[in-house]
Amino acid sequence: MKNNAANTKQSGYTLVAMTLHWVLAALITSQFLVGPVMTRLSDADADLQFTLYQFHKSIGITILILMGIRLVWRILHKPPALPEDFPATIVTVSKVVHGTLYALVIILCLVGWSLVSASPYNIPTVLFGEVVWPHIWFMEQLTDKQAAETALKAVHTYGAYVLLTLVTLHTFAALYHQFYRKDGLIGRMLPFAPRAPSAPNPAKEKG
Amino acid sequence: MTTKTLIVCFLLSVFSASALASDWIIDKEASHVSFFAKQTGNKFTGSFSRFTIEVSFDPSHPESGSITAKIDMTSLDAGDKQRNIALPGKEWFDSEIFPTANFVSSSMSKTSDGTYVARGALTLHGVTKPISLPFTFVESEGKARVTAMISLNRGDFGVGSGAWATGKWVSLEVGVEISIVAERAGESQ
Repeated sequence: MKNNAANTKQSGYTLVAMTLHWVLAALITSQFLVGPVMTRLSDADADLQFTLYQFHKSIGITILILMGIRLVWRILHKPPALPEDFPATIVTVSKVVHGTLYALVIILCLVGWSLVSASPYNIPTVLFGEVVWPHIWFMEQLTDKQAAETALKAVHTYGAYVLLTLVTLHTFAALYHQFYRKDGLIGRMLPFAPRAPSAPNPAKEKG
Repeated sequence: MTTKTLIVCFLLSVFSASALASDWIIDKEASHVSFFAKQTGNKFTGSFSRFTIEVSFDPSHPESGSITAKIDMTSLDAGDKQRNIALPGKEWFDSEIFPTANFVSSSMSKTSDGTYVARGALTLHGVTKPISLPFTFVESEGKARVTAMISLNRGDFGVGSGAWATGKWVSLEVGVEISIVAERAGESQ
């Protein structure tokens, strides 16, 4: 009961959750920008291409680590409850989208790491030019690395399109809440936003 | 003054060369084995910190000389973490299977421009090829400085396989420099 009361009082996400959300948002956005560029560079820009691949890999592993931390934090810290007047279907859709966002980000990182490990180029991953990151052992041992890399690359690419779609949906949902419903829901994720006017009312939630 | 010094140096070198044994003791600290290549257009240098070189050389009788060099391929430093992990791998030197590279001379001679050439066999990455290694020999103050430079095609030795077999990302041409500082075996004792 006590625990429940504490949760309902909470009007926004914890500062840690907010920080992770926005840092990851920035990192994921950068992956969406770098990914399509690095794969389309011509041989004349090979140097830039190799640099961008290392950067993409560095950011990807950073995302994977931060997502691990975020997942643990999320399990240990219950997120603020949704406003009571939400239709059940919307709540379900929201839960599915959020869950898929988490899962897809982690899956894309793991697929990226796998395809790097399976690549016949066998290029070492050195995070930000400093930290040596290993290949996934069994991916390195595959007999037909080329086929594995091609397949994983397709999964990584199309997975990224799905993630981009969901991120767009997630963003539009936030904007819908902010500018159409004007319920200030977005404030729960903004560290410096005043969330008094339209934050979920603890009394209402209790009732 | 300078002419005098030169003459003294010349006489000293002629004297020491003719008077002493032709075996040399390598100063490992001052000697280097390195290579130069280009990766996506950028030059880089690699070096091997462990090697053993045995030299028998008399500048007045180069034909009687011989050189044997054994390079520990696992002592590579290519100046960056990525290369240091990639190059010992099986796509490149495959240092686990081929931990050493060897050069064994079969003949030596003086060239018309006053330098020397050692002909022999280079074994690298398990592939043995005949090479001619041109070198210069300068002796002063009891120390000899030998610099050998050669340009190799890494493809001849199967270094860089699969996606790396062409010069698209990493140049096929690799310059190798062996720089030796040595003392005469007789004098150092």
